[in-house]
Amino acid sequence: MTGGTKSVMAALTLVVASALIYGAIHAFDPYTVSIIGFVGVNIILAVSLNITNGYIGLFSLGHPAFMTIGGYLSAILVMAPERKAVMLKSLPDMLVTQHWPFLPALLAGGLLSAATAVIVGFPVLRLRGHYLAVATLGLIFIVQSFAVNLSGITRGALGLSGLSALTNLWWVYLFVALTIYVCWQLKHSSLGRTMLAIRENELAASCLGINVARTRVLAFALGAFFAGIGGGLWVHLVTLISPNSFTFLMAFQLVVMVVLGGTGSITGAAIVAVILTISTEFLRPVEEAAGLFGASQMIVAVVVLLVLIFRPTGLFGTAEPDLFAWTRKFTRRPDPSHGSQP
Amino acid sequence: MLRIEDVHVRRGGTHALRGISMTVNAGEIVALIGANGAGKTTTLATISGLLRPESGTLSYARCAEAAPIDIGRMRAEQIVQAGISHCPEGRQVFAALSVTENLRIGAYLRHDRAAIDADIADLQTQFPILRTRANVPGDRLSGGEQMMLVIGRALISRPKLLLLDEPSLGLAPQLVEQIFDILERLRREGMTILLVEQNAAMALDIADRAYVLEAGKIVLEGTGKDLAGNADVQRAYLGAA
Repeated sequence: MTGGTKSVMAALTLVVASALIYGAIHAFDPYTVSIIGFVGVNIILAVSLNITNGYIGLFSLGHPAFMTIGGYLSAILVMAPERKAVMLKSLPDMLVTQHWPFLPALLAGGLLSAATAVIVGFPVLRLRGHYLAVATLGLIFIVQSFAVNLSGITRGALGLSGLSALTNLWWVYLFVALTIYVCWQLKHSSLGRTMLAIRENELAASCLGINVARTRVLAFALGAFFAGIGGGLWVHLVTLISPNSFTFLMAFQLVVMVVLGGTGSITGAAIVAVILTISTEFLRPVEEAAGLFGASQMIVAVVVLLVLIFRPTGLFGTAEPDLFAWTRKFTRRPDPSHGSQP
Repeated sequence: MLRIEDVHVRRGGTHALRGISMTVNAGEIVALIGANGAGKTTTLATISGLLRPESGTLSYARCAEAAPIDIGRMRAEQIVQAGISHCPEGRQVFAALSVTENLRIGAYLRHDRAAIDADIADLQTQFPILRTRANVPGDRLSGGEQMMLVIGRALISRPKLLLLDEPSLGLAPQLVEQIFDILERLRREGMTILLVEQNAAMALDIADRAYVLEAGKIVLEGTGKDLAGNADVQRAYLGAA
């Protein structure tokens, strides 16, 4: 594909995507629109969790902790100063007077999450396998108890309710596109390959001069950045954040998306995020009608077991299948080496 | 080129190296032999920066003119940059990557693309299997082929000193001969090699000098020929009655 057709394709994709978002906002009821929003946020979370759990092979359960951090910071930054003065007694004056627009607040939440990941990363990333999983699980509880006990800043267990519903499909899918773009570029860059090399063979990687510790922290921080943004989008979609908004259950849900999609596959994580989010929503009325609450979780658990037994690499392994191969059937030009024989 | 003095290393709870001193001169093959658990692998890992020494000095000079630098506190990637390349035990190829991709990863710290390509072509001439099997994934290679790949991958970083950990591990005798021929050829071309081996007979045969390591201490040193003739060494490592 030449540069010209590539930018035409990109422009076309942008137009189609914008039309779809516009159409979705206007054609569907608010409930459906919010589900489409959750689908997008889950894509952001699953694809970014893939950086640690997929690319570099660090089994992290820490995403909810970073979502909580990003969620609280962005909520505090966009909240009106008058409300903050009343609700959050011990918030530093510096923060009380801030009244930020949504976008910088989201980014600030992402950056604070990433900074936390760097600080936590140096000690925690020395651990391997399930030790790391347990340590990051611990991180969720540490952040949670901070959120409960710093009640002058977070309102403790009550949480911050009545946040403005700033998250709309435009914001969500802007960040979906950004997350997928960054992860895609990363995967196909030398840094991404470095991460895969560490995952495949840490000993050989360090013998060849790869700085394993630094690359690990970088991957962890990058994942945390998008988790922080995902958290910010989430809380302004449900207009509420409390210490229990993002628990370890969410961590498992996200890990399931990565495992089912294929550890390291952006396409896989995104597709499974879509399927799982939609199916859980749509199975809810079925569960209610049948009186089988929690049945969908059991189905998911069984599916995970079956995948681990019969297809342990997940849907796509580390690969990115060409989902648009079929479109080339229509755009392919006649091949000059065939057809013009005498 | 490399001088180690009174180096102590603790690994987990064990005091793995208890004050070893050794030197490797430019252009030599130096063999380090000893029983399992004597500390051979630990010695290499300490030189290449994968482990930190508790005390002692490790000084290294890239060439005769260069001032010696203290590598005892340097990180692994800085040591690779300084010209020491470590082939870890058990070959450690990247299983999912092709032969050529494995070679390219060896050039991780280099950015001179054209020269890397030239070096790869050069290696392919030296080790023809790296060309004939260029696109085969690493785990489809036989043990001997993997060993050649790993040596090639270590050479791509253009080291001055090559650390080899058990290159004969799990290889048929004929292949071991082949690998040792490669080492002799590398020495002729000016490479310095520190070789850790279980196969003491072959190692002593090719080595200019050798050290015998026992329970974290160097108990004997000498030329390869001297040690091969030493009665204790013969009894303990060469299987003589």
